[in-house]
Amino acid sequence: MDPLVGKYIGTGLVMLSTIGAGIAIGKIGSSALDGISRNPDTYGNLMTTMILAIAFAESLAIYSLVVAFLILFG
Amino acid sequence: MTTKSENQTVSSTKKQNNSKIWLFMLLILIVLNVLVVRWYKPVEPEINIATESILFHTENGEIKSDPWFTLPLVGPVYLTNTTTAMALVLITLLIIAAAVRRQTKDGQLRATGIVMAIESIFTALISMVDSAVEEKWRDRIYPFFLTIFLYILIANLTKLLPFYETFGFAHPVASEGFLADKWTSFLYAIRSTPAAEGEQGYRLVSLFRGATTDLNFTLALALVTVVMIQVMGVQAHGIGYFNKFINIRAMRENPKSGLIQVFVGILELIGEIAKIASFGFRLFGNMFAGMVLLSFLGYMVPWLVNAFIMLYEAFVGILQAFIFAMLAAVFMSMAVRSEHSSS
Repeated sequence: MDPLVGKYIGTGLVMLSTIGAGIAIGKIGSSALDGISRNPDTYGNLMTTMILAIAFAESLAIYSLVVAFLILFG
Repeated sequence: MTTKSENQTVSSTKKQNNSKIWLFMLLILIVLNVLVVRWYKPVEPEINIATESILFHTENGEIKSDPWFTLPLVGPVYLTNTTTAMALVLITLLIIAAAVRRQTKDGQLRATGIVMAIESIFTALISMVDSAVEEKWRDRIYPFFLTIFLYILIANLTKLLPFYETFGFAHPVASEGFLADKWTSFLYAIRSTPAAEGEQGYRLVSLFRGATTDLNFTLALALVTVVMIQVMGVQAHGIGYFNKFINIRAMRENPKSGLIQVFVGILELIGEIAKIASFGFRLFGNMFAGMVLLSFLGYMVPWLVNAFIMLYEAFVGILQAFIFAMLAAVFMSMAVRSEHSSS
């Protein structure tokens, strides 16, 4: 078998970790929406906090993306 | 429209004509682009994590990088194509700064041109972090916050300029090269056709590559930011700031809870190191992913869609600059008002 196959399968497996980030971002978004709909005055405050939390959750997916890039092009 | 005065209607039609000329020129450029690419396929950008040195010599048909200068302990330092892009970013920032300085020298506020643009950007940014930063520390934190935002913003947006990654030095290689047309004695156009056996192949070493697609650049920025966070903490609490990491007094007073404090301190220390990694990798990952996306989309949809992805990349660039700067500001405000301030 071509050794390149292993490289591509590995890249695909690494990107599985985006599932967790997807769940996290969905939860953050839904909770922020809950908060905003309960108290619309907090919109500005919540928005900043939400973007911050999403950036944290997303950075975990970005780690796996960097590893995938290293496997593919490194 | 009929209720408006004649004067206004005239000016609006003039404006419409003006914008129509621009649209027309844009359309011509798009058509020209499609036709030229159909007849003359340009070289594809090479995707590589490592950056290329623009100082090189050719040896037996292979590229060998020459060091720019050599430092005693660090070793050779290369003039990479991201370094040149960084120089371009700094020149752009200096031009903006000089323009703003020239227009505000007389101390009067003006709501025109570049001053207006910069001021509205800064006002919007400051209003977003105002609730997170204490009033006492705003004068200390905001200059760093706004500087780092402008720096990353310009670096991310200049990455999308047309000559990035496609303009550079062509030089002959022995294998895996592409055919090139010789336009003049020093101007070559590399085509995307691979050179066959017996033909002279050429490779491209691009002169510019987006500064934020280099891991060294983003990690250096992250390092500077995290060091600045510690500096802010020390400025706020003196040497007692380091009690956050190693709490000697609590250990002496109560050995049992002191042991817990040791583990909390280790966790805090790991948190600071994780900040460097998350700052650096987030920016690098997003920008490099944009580069890969643009180049792979060219294989799937040859035209039109790339333009929209380019627009999306501009949006991602602004968003990542904002996230980097805002996280830095929030971490700094967390460092200056830690719970140890009461003791």
